[in-house]
Amino acid sequence: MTARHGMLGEELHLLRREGVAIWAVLALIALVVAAALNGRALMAAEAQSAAAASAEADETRAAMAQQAGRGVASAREPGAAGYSVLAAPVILPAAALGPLAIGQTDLLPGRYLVTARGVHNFLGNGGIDNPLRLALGNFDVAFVIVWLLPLAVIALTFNLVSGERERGVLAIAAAAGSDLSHFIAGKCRVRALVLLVTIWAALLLAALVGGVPIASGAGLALWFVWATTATLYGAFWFALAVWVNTRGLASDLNASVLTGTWLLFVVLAPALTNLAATTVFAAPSRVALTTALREATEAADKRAAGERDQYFFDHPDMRGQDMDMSAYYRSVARSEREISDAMLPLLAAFDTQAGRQQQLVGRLQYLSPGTLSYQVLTSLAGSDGTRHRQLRAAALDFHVGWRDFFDRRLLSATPLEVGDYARMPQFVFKEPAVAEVLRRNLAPLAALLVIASGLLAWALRRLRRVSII
Amino acid sequence: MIRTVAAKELRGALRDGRVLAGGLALFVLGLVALISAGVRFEALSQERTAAQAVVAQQWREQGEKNPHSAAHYGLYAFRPALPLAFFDPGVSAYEGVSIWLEAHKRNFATGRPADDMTPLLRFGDLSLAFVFQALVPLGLILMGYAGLASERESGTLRQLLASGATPVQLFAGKFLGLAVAALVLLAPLLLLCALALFIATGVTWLPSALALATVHGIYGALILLLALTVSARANSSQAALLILLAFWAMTSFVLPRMAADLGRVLHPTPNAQEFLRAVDADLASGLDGVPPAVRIAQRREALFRIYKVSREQDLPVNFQGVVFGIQDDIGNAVYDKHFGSLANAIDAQIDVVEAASILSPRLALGAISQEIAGTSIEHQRQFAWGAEQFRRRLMEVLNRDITFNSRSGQNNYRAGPALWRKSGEYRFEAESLAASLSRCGGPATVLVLWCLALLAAAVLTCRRLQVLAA
Repeated sequence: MTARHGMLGEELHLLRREGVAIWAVLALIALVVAAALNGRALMAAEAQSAAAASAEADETRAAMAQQAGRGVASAREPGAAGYSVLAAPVILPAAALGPLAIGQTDLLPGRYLVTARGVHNFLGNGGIDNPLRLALGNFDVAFVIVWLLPLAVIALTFNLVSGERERGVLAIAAAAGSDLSHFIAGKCRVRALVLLVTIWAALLLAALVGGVPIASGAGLALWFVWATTATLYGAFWFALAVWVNTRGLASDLNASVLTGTWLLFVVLAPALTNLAATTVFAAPSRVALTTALREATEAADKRAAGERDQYFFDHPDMRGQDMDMSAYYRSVARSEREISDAMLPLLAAFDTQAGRQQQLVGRLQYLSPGTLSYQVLTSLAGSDGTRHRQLRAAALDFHVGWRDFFDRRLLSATPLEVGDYARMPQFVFKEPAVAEVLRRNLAPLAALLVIASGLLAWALRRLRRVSII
Repeated sequence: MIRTVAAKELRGALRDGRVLAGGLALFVLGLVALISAGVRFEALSQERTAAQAVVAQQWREQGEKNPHSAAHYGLYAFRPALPLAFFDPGVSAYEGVSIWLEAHKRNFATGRPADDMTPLLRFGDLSLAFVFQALVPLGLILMGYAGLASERESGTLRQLLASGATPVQLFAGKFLGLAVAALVLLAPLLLLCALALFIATGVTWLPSALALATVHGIYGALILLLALTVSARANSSQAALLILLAFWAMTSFVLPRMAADLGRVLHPTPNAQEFLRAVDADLASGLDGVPPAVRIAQRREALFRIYKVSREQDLPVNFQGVVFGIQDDIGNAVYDKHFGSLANAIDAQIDVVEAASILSPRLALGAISQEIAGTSIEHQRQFAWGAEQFRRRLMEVLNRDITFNSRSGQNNYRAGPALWRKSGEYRFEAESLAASLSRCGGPATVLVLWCLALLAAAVLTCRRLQVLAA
């Protein structure tokens, strides 16, 4: 026990003397915390916008209800309310681990303003973010873990054995009759312990400064699995570094080999996987979608042209108060439904192809621990696109109910009453159960565990035959 | 002496199996990037050209209708795929490809290619720009980190200096030898890229391609200079490698992301709903405090006075056309204000990224590369602004037709193909290379400063080499 403590103290002392190791650990913790703060800022801005959209919709609805109570014609006209004024916010709630992995959150729509008009009116509205920022990527904790943790591990371990050999320590230890494999395994244990403590301390800090709800059972469970994924990923790189050290190469060659492997697994494999998925299952053309939308619009417009001319096409407001607004909105409703019906199969083709891309990525992810970890980390954080696709599907379902609410009254010429405003459909996102999220990530996590532990076992076995020269 | 050292270094590099393997890997990756981008460019180019033609035909053949119905039907402008996007896609995956040009509204471009890609795109796209901006520098670092450090570690540095070579000759020789070796290894890929561009576009884009090659060459030289300088100054080749790898990872991947997100935190852009809400508020109230309804009433009164009538129906013009014109004038001013504010916020974010390029020359290289390739934010803005100017002209033509060729209350007024043809088509023309380069002053200055600083460091290092060897 005393010898082990002595080894620990000696190794920690050595680590302290190696500036690189200390800097790597400190930089990793600082970067994780900075990334968590950045994630929290982005999520807070998103939440604020979502709340504003929701409040605005509520205010408009309340004002319309009041007007309907006073008998204002436009507030009682279901067509005007559904097709011109009201929009129901369909909002993706913030995910518990959202601040840790921004993933697709800043790219894919996290809310839709659903109106009674066709689906093409709300599905196509993307964000207006800075494209350069989107292209450069996010600085979030997932990025620090997947990209930079391996570099920190490499900095800590690239000369684990080779450094001792180059300094002549191995030769001295062998001459003194020490068990070399025991000596090196001890060094491995200490460095692994340093890494383990660093990762968990950094991620705990990230959870605290990022506002992750670890006080709740679900939040804690997700965070624990998230941190475990990061640990397994770190373990893979540690095992790889030990394995490379057993090859008997010089320290700088070890560093080159490990950096090359990092490049392969973290940079090239994900890029090639994305390239393969988007090439094999290329998304349908957005340009073709645009021309199809145009054709559908033209066909609907031609059918409605005669009845809409009296409203200056889309300006019933300019024709005075004596116009039959219901007739105008019935015409609009028919056009919108025709366009929507024509567009839905085309839009579904995008979903189908996105699903196929994801399936292929799901299979190819096992080729790279970097891809595998990133997929799990973003999936646990609800930012891998799955929740966004679920929101889109839910928005389409909700749209049917929302549109029918107004169309039924429009077609039967039933004015809206005050009570109708309270009876309008309300959207609630059905969050997948934590167990379901964990189950979805079980196979990739198990794979990561097998890869990391298998490589570590192999590396430790090879340590027994380590050469002193 | 420089030639002798360079020749030795060149031979050594080209005989090193690891260097050859690295060169081969770069070639294969570059080839994959070239083929995938080439296929994508060809498909996009044909698709967008065809779509633009289809939309123009739809517009011309929309039949007889009220011009304002045609204004609501509108047109689409498709961003053409520029040839050098195959080298550097820049921000093009994150910008919409088409803009709906319709009555009353200035729309954003929609249909971002990134929306249809997998989340792994956020890791980075395998493009030729990535190969030359990230992977080639890594290769140069791996070739150069031991250049002088290993000579010192093995004791051959002292021998070389004792044999009559000056530190400057040694440094320059090593630099030239490694640079030529890198060029030899990259030559097949460079030639293939040039050939692909020539086959696709003839010689039109070759000056731009040469400019791209030059700026990437300068960056490569900068990295090699850095590698040799660090190699000469570090305590060991191992330390040199660690320093250079840390520099490479930080400048290639970490700093760009940190700078971009810092820009967002310091200068946030509004979200789409906030933006539209602000636009709607200004459209309702008018920018100068005069509500549109008041402005319309004033114009009505003015026309009544001019034509000495008291009813719209008695005017010799269709007052609805005048109203559309007033609404468009107000709308244009409001959209200019808000699109301008948005552009300013994005520019402020870009300023933060450009400031960070002082620490990360790769950011400066990326900015220049995107400008030359025509895939920068500014090129997208030119396309969008050109489309907006066309939309305004189009609406003016349609409003004037209603105003002067029909009378107030004439609901059944129809225009036909002659008017649709008169409104013309929007064709985006990419700006000249000189115009693109004129925006590269900031990043080019950063690259020059890096070069000067590294040259100064190299000179100082050479002096130190002399001392070390003494």
